[in-house]
Amino acid sequence: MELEEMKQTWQELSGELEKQKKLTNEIILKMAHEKSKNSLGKMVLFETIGGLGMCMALLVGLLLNMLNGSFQTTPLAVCALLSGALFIFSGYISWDFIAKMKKINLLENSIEESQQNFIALKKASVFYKKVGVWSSLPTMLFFIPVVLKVFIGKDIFTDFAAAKEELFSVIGLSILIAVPMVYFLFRFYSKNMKAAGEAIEQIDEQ
Amino acid sequence: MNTENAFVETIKENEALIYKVTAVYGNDSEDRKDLYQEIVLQLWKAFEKFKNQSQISTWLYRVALNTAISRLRKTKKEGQMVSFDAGLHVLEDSYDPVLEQRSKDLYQHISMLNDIEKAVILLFLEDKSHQEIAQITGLTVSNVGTRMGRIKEKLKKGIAKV
Repeated sequence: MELEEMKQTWQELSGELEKQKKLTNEIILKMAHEKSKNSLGKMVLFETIGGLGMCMALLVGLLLNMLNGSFQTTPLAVCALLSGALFIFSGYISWDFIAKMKKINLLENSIEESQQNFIALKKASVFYKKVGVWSSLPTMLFFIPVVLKVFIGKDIFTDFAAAKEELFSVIGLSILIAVPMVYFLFRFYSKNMKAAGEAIEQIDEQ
Repeated sequence: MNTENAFVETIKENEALIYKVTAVYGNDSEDRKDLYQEIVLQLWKAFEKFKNQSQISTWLYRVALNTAISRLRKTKKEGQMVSFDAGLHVLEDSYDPVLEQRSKDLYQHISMLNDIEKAVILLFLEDKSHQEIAQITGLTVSNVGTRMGRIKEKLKKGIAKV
């Protein structure tokens, strides 16, 4: 096939293609929207199950134990209440984060709205990351005595010596689990935020 | 006209152009659909930046070809592709059998070229001058001429093989 022959075939094909225009407005916007939706969709699913779902489950477990009278001493009851408050707060954070992610929709919103929503999501992401880091220590302080009471039946406030060994084991285990988990979570969110950001980079930069 | 409407109209007017780029750079039907989506996405991202500094077709070719080439390089590096299904059913109907055979031959010949040469031949086939090809690809005019010479050589050798 010589270049001229190639050119002739190409032009005939071009003519055929021009006749076959099939894209609709919806398909075009869907294509532009798909990538941000995919990345955000992963985060919404993860946050719904791992964030909101986990907080709700912990809160329900805590309430059931409260109703069963598991926390009879005042310090333990305070720890249980503070843990509950932290779960409610964490649940709210997850819910708010999910709501902000769901707001980003290139199909339904204007470019300006998408831009504002993504900026709000990014700000929330940075803020909640800080909150997560700073609240991890108080969460451990309040929640570990509750865990020891619920799962091992020991109250560190009434008999510290008897619960000492388990207390250190739980602290050690928490650190062992928390460090890789936090690393994984940060990576997961950074990666997907970046992907979503790339998809609406133009909006973000305006 | 708001930005979205303007964008949709631009894509509609130039959908054949995007399809041709996907036909040259895509491996199969699924791959072409993925690439089509990627190009539309990149055009959308760049649309507001495009403030008629250049002709719309020049801008479209540039974005589409850059997307196709970067994606191809990324895919080669990663060795995998992500599947896409956004309800895109375009331009897959067969034409008359003779033209279909000729188009297969055409794409087979183009497939012998490297990434940049594919862009150059595509623009040449689109009847672009060396000057325009240089403007779109970022090559110099003399480099375009040199590459066209190499492409002719490659195609001749390819013809012997085919």
